[in-house]
Amino acid sequence: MGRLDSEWTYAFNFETPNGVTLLGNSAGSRLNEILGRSGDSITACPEVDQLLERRGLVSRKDSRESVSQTATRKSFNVWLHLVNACNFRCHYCYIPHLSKEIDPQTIERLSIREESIFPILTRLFSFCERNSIELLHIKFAGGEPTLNLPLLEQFCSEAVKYASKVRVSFGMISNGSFQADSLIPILQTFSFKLSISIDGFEASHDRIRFSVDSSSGARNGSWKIIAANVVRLMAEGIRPYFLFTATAQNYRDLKAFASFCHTQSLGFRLSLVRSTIPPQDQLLESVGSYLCDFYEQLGKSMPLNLRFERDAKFAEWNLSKKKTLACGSCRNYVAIDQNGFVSSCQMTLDKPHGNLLREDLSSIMHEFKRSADTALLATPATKRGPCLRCRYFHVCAGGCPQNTFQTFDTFDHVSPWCRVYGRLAPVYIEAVARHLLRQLLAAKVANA
Amino acid sequence: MKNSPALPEKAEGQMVGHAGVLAEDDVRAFARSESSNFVALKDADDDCDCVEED
Repeated sequence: MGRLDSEWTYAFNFETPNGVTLLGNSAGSRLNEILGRSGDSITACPEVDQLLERRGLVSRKDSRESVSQTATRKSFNVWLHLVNACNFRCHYCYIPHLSKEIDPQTIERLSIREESIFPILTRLFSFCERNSIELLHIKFAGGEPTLNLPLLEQFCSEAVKYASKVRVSFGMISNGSFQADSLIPILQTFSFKLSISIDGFEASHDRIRFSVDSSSGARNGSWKIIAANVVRLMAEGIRPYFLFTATAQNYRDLKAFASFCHTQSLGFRLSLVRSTIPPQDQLLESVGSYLCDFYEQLGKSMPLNLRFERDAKFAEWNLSKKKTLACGSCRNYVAIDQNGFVSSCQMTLDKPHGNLLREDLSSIMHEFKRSADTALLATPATKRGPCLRCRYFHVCAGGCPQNTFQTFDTFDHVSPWCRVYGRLAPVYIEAVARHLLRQLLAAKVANA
Repeated sequence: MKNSPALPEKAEGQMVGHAGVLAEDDVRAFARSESSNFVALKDADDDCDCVEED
């Protein structure tokens, strides 16, 4: 629990996260009373107690009901490596064996072959139908999926033909350097959700993401193209979502970047760079300090029409879920490369567990459970190690499991960014609460 | 409701059931009923490079 002002407190259950709850004076006092007398019987206060119980903040001794988590639809998600190619050469890109800075003329040989579309789609839809999965979400990525727009369009056109009992939706992760006029009609036709991956803001982004002029050798940063494309997209009613990878070189630009996004009512997800070399103590300290200040300020100033946990999302955190692993890898999420090989996620495309051109997805999912390098991902309950004893475990869920595995050769180690997570968690939760209270108070004023 | 925070008259019917215990959905429902300015522009989650489990 924490106090927000003279009237309001907030509460969050670390053991069974179910979102942040705002508590008025009487409800806050009541929760304090219950928590302070844990184990003793106290006089019942039915109305408030029932609400606190429904929010998962208290439970009756005889209660066996679990907290009702936010209902979600059952979906299966695919990272589809439409092209194993990118027009940039980012030094830390985590996609294994990616063809970087490619000549656009060579894109065909680096793309999913036309004759592979049918078997891939057939097996994906068949798997979903057999497992009563309502929605297949195909996320086109790479590489840069916009390098082969005809193939993208063809794949979507075929996919919608298969959708019946199992619905299909489309997403795309792009570096934002596309030709908007060519891409927008496809985004609109297939109702795409578009995410733009960036590595900083303006100059710091351009230092990483640039193209090289073949004649002069000059580096051309891509930020201006992204900014212009965002304007074009928004003019067409498409609101892109940003994925910001924070590194030692760009994290200080986060405040300016957030302002850029939020003044346009655009959201972002911030994640910390995944490197096999653990961050040094000094970096952990400085990034932790910066992020605490950053989120504290956002809690006090983020525009009220935005949702904190979506529009300033941090890593894979979701305060409304009890998570034991950060992602759904090997359970409701796989990555498929341009040759049909299926991996646990995009970071392990070089370690496939089967091929969708030759076998059913069910057998590949079974293989994930059997293999030593994916068994934990397929069965999160088997996780071991110090994370299980941490108060914040169900908030950060140990961070990206692949990043931990690649750094420490085990899933049971804490995340390389553990110190930042532990420091940020209470600040982030309070920021969510403060934003929520500001929304409530503003609505009251609007009504006055 | 006696000791709960003062709430706008117009909204009392909606808020009384919360007795000062409000989750995000409650706040958004309340805000939505009062002013469209406080409705999130888009409710759906967006695509990140990683996917949460259902």
